Amino acid sequence: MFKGLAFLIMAVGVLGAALAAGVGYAGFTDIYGSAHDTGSPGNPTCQQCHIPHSAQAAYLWAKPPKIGMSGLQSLCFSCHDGTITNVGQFIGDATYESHSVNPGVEGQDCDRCHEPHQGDNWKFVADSIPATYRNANLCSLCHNTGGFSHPQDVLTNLPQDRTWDPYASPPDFSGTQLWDAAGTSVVSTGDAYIKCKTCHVPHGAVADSGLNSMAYTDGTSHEPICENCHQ
Amino acid sequence: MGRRRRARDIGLGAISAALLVATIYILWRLTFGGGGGEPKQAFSPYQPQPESLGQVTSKFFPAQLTLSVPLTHTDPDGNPTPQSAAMPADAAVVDGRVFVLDTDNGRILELNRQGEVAHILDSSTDERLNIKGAMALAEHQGKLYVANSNGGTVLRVDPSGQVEAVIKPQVETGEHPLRPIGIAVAADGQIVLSDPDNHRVLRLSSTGKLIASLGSGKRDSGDYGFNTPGAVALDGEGNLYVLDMLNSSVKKYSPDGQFLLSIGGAGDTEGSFSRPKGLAVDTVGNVFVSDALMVAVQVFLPTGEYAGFIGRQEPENKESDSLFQWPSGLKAVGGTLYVVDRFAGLFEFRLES
Repeated sequence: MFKGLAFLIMAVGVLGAALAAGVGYAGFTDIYGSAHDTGSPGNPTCQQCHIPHSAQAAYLWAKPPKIGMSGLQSLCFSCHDGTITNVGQFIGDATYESHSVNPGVEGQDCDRCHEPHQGDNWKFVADSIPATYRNANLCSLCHNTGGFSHPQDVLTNLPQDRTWDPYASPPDFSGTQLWDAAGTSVVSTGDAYIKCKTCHVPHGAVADSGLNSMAYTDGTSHEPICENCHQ
Repeated sequence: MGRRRRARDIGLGAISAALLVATIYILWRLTFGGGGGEPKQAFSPYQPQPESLGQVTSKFFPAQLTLSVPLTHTDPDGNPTPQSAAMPADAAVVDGRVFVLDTDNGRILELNRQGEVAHILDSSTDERLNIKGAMALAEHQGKLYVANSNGGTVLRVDPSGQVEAVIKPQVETGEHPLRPIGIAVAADGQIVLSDPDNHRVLRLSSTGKLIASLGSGKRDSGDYGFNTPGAVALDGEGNLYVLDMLNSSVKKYSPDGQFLLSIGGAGDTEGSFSRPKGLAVDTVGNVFVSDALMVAVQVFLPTGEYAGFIGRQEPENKESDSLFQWPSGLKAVGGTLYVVDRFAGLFEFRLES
């Protein structure tokens, strides 16, 4: 009897899991309450990006948009262009450097790192990325420093995330510095925050710099990227 | 006892087997769709639609392209030249002189009639002209008004580049810092600003004092609710037009703030909006709306009726490629429409209506 009962429970479990995975799309509901929960009464959140086709007129989409941003990138950028939000405002700006993507190719576009529905994650980083990498050392998931000559062993130091805003005017990198607001070094406290994004950024980087967040030199004797940590 | 137990086990086993078969069937249907024959397509391929469907007729709005300048320029090494713009967002015309907001470079470019950069207005002309990320530009009585979006201020700038005033809006703090991305200046000098992150539109005195506020301060809809208002415009009678971006509509208000009309709606067909960016009203009350995802500018009559679109490379061929890449800021000055494209530069059209 117990064998039969166990089999029944297992079968029901398999059925439930299949239904949850195939029908429930439970992960998508994480968008509610996130920054991407942009709906208003009568204009639901889903329809901000997914338009049901009950067309009563001619489609007006140009064929194709010429920007080279077909697919996901144009959809993401349609809000992140400084209008609906100024977060990621420089993504499309050719004078800055961004991490390479294959526009419109699933898994190789913005969705290489981001999943817009998973709002409970840091910066909408996809669930498929292990939790220990959903922070400012995200780069190290693919760019493992093992075997590389790199000035910092970033993997030994998984920090919490602090203020880092290249889009502020002037840019605010205070959270990546090695001293606190009072000017006191935090290195000796064991609370240092060296991380990939101390020096590198995936969007808005200095052109032709290896995705550096700041210039090596500002044209004078100053070296911003060094002085950000070394006062 | 043993037989009864065996029978019960067989019964439970049969139920379990039925559930497994059902599971496999459901997974099969979810994975491959129903029935035989042609497999289901997730998305329909693009199909040009008939000329007229429902109440909206596909048509061009009569406008002739008179000038097109790229605004971005590179040297032989591929680097931007000093005159090159980066993601320009808007334009304004002062006494016939055309000024473009060079958003990511934090400056304003004056263009000559050939579309070349004649003068650069930046922090070297006045150190207070620090406007990185500014999204909107307006003209009033020979002066430029800059919506300094990331700074939360308005700058009144002389066409020579001198900052005459840094206007700090005196408004109650919303949930988010004020980030004005739309600006219009009324005949009496009052300033209308959009505050998209707080879902409201502000009418200010010329010195920044709050006169009136539209919107509930949260994502809202209806006649007086906004969901991320962007561009704003005023017509000759002082009526206010607000591009309610995430409600995919344009709302029109009388000078005393009474709701008059709503235009558009969410969609990807003519007469609706996918991701509207810019807004302008011409001298007869026609409303122009740029749409970045549709890559076109749509036009509506003063009644709100759809009047056609602008922006194909072949003016007689609706199926030809778009003239634009990311049409954004719009200005209608006299019989001329200016379209600022974040990537493709500045377009000037002579309106033939």
